[in-house]
Amino acid sequence: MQTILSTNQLYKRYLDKNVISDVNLNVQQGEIYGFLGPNGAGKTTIMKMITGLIRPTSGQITLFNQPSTTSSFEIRKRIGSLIEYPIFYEHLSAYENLQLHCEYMGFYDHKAITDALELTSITEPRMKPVKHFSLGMKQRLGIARAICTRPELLLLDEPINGMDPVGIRELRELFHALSKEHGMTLFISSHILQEIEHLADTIGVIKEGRLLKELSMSQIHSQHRDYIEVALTDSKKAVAVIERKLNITNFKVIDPHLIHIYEPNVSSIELSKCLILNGIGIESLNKKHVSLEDYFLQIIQGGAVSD
Amino acid sequence: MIKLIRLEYKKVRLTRFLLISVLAVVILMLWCIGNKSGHPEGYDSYQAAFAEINFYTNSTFLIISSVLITKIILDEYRKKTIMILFTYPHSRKRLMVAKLAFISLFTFCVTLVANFSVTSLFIFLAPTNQANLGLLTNDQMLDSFLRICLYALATTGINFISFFFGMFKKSPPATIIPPFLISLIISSHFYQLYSIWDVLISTISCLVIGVLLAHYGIKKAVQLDVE
Repeated sequence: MQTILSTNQLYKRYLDKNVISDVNLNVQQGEIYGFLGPNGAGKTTIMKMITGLIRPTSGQITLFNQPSTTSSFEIRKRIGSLIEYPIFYEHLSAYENLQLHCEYMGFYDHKAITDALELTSITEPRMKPVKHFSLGMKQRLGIARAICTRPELLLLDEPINGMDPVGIRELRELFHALSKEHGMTLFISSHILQEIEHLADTIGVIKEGRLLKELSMSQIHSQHRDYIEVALTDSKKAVAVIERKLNITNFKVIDPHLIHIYEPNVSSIELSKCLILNGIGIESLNKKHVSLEDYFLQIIQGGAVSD
Repeated sequence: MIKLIRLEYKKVRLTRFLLISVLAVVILMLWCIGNKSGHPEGYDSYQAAFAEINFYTNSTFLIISSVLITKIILDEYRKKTIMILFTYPHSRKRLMVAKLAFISLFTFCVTLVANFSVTSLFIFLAPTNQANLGLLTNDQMLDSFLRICLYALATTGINFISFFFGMFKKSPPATIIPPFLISLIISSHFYQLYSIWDVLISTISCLVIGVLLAHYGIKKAVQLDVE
């Protein structure tokens, strides 16, 4: 698969503080990339750098195998974006806003405008000014504007903000359709894990301007769903046994009496037998399930699960 | 560039500004002709009358065009639509130049038309409601015509200066007040100048200073991050 968007050692500095530090992203063609992070993590700043609104302090952004600069105008024609929140010329109607957008983008297929409005279920009267739209409807219109020029790369910043549950579901289906049927690459940022979990093929986790993790959903599902929680008398001694006798490396010492073992295919019987034989008392041994939420919270809160 | 200027026209809905301009012309006619610019005894000469008409008309349209600057340029920043505009496949410089070109074209044309309208009506009504003006010669007519054209150009130049202040402060008062003050300060000299060459040099100075400052304003827009 071809990399459509990548960043290399991307930095942004404001007032002697790095708000973005050493970010190396890789987005493959045709995938939905979920960009996950708490509020203020730097998601919007990175998206603004990709769209050319903000200049990186250092580092490179590569789009469609070409370095992105302030004068990469041909590249911009291939990108659709909705950054921060939906902004429009409020006195103009939905149709007029999209028409204006298409003209600025040099895209002259007017059927694409009605198609985009239909796809995003915007049913407001054609001449109604956008200032009378609800937030949810503006959000839909922002997405309609981003997709109406049929871009190859779609950048959506918190696209489900202000949407009701039915709307969220419709948008999710739309994003899947854009990716699978229209071959668009979607880069979607959100602080809502469940949403990204339902949508993304690959997830990038960002916190305080640093990309903590970038991995595919299949990797996440295969690696980090189950673990064994062992409550025992002496963690320090147990670590030596687990490492040397059982050759297990993927585990984490939670406290002096608790260990989590993430290595797949470890037999509980074998584990307990080995620990007891080496003089370590076991209080309990349970198989546990890590939800994705737990997993990402661990990453974001600094207690990253060992690989 | 013409396409970008046309898109500015589409965005701004100029009808309101044209209606305001028509209303302004009517008020100027009432003030300068009906009320003789506040001189109950009337104007001393055609030259004095034209100077007053030019001053009031240019000052009025300087303010109207400054309001247009806040609408077309500052509102893009205040309402954050600049975040959309600057993601388009056009250089920021071209986008800003298109905006300024549109505003300048509007300012020049409207100031010119307004000045001609008020002056023409004044000349038409002068024999009936003005005393002591004497005869209007062809030379005076030509001189007045050239001055009106030059004043419209100067107004456009001063407009660039308000763009510069607007870009730095990003506030409507900072955009509207400077041209008004400039107009007040220069009025006594600029509109009373006897030689057309003096007017020409002053106009060129206004344009050069305006273009230089506008250049810095655009440079700032090009370099700054859009937050």
